[in-house]
Amino acid sequence: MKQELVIALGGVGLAILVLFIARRHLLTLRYTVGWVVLAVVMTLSALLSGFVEPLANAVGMTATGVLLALASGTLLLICIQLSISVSGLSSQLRELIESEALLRAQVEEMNLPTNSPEESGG
Amino acid sequence: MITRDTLVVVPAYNESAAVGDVVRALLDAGLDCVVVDDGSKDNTAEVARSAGAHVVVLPLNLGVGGALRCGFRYAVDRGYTRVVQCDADGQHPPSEIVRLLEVQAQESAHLVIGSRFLDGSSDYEIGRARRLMMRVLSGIIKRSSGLRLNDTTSGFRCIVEPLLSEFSVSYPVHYLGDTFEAALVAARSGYRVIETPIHIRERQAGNASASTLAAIRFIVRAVIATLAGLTFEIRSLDEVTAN
Repeated sequence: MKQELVIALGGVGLAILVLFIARRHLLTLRYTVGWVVLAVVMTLSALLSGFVEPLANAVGMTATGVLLALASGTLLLICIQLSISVSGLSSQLRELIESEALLRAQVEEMNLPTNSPEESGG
Repeated sequence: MITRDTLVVVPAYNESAAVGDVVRALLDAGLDCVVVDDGSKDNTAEVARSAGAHVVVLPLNLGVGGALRCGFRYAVDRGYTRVVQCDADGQHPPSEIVRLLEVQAQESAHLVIGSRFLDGSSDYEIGRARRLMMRVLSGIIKRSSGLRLNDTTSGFRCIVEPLLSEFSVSYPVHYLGDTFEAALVAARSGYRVIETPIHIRERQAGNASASTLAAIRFIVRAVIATLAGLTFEIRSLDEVTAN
């Protein structure tokens, strides 16, 4: 019972942490939802570990082991999803950098005044 | 063989010591050139501009592949149909660029690679790791596209339409992806790729960036990418000509 309690407390802690970060606008809603769902699932399944028991017996693991396996599986999925997002972001960023550079070159060729990156960079 | 349809693209990262001379030599030889400053920390852009080059300044460092793709886009936007990519460190003399263009015109190739190792090229010393890497890469290209290449990582190339437009849209940014992978993908997509011997000079300034570790990492990546079909994609020559 102690193990389940620790996992449940961990879930509650995760939910509080995520909501705290989200309220400070460091995390967008899109990512907040995934983490909160993970925290809720973690807490509920720890508290209702009796329901996990048959599944645990079937695969020859303890109920705690099953819960932790589910949690790590979800974390893995979140990581993969983040990698996909980051890959997409880097190619979008690259596209944007190139377009900006080409536009700047075009403006310079038209002899219009521009800010140099040093002046405008922050 | 210099015509107004040809642009020399010079990707440059912290090359203020050499880029001025490179630009002046290109202009003296009657070649149009654009320097793509790849987020340099020094005054590469100003030096290139005052030497008379067109300059495109990337606000962040994208790597050689990114700088090249930007240069290709610049060329395509302005109606150039032929591009020579040339290092900013003075390794590629304009006389060799002219020769590369002549070979391209004679052979009507879409991609001409200046090789440092073919018979007739100058002696070029490379380390053992790098030599092994070249061998592995040549093997991969030959197996997967049938193309026989000696110098898969040469950064001295001539690219011609319609391949130029394809490259301006899709071009790999990772280390050496712009050389090895680009040749592989072009050959596999039905474009005419040839190799010609060139003479290159010692670097005038700056440091060579490829280390042994990077070479090994690249082989692993190249093998995985080719075996798993993860290389970048362009439209094949047949698709382009059909449209």
